[in-house]
Amino acid sequence: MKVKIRQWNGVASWLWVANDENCGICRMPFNGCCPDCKVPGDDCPLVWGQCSHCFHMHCILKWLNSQQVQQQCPMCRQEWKFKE
Amino acid sequence: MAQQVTPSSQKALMVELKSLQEQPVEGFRITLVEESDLYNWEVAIFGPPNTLYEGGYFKAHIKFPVDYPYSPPTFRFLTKMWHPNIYENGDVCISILHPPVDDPQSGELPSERWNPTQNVRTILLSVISLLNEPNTFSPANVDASVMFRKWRDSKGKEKEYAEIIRKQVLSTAADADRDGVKVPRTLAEYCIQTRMPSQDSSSDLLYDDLYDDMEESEEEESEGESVGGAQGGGRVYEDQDDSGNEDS
Repeated sequence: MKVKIRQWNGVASWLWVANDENCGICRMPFNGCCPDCKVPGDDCPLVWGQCSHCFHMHCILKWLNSQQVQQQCPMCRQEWKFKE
Repeated sequence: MAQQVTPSSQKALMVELKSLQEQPVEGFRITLVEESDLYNWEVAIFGPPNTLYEGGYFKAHIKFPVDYPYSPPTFRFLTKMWHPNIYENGDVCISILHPPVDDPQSGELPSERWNPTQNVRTILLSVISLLNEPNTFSPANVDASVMFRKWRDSKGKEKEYAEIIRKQVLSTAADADRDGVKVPRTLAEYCIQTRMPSQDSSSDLLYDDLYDDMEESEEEESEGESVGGAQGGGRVYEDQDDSGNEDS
């Protein structure tokens, strides 16, 4: 039997590889986006701290920017440093 | 960031309310004060069995700020409470409800205070443990604190503190009657019977609203494994990367 492919559509899928399902700050799924964004993906990335906790970048920045005192990871209260 | 249509606090509160209705915290019942207002919750608390508060039915309101969870809610008892850490007006004084500003006078470290990963569940657990274990180092009600210490240090011989609380507990029976609530008295009842059947239809409605602008990706998932974009149901198991979010 011979099959002739006339047409095909490529479909790609992706997900974030995080150690949890939801962002601990906004409580939204990591594979979705933060509540201020509309489209998941590179425009609403995840970031990790050196403590290995992970958040939507927008969520953790919003929290760190509102803190006059030390900047701590909201999960473990260690000093927050971005993981390279 | 895109422009804000609804405040992000609204989504966070919907998610929390749904979760608390499906898996309630033992001894608590949560409703909205008004159906249309997500920022005002009413809490009914059952006094834990085998404590001074056994048989009690206490009501409180939780009010959320519009920038929740970046700022803490307030927790106020409507039922009169005689407790070292509850103010005359019912406001509860616990460090996790205070924003983390640097205030050396307070005796609270910034690290003991509110942060956005706290939630209603952690607040309820703090409140229920506070009832029977007051913190006498920063009393909101000094008289109650002095009385509590007398009671504790005399190992119950100075009965005044316990008597006031028992009297208040007994007087809450009228509220329970009015609300048609049967207050659990044994541990078994307390642990099981406070679970409400999850109101699936109504809470799903809330949840659907949340995702209605992301729903196109649904048709692609036939094999049970959900991928990509908005779903968030599919979990990736990654062997090397298992540290982190559980160890707080």
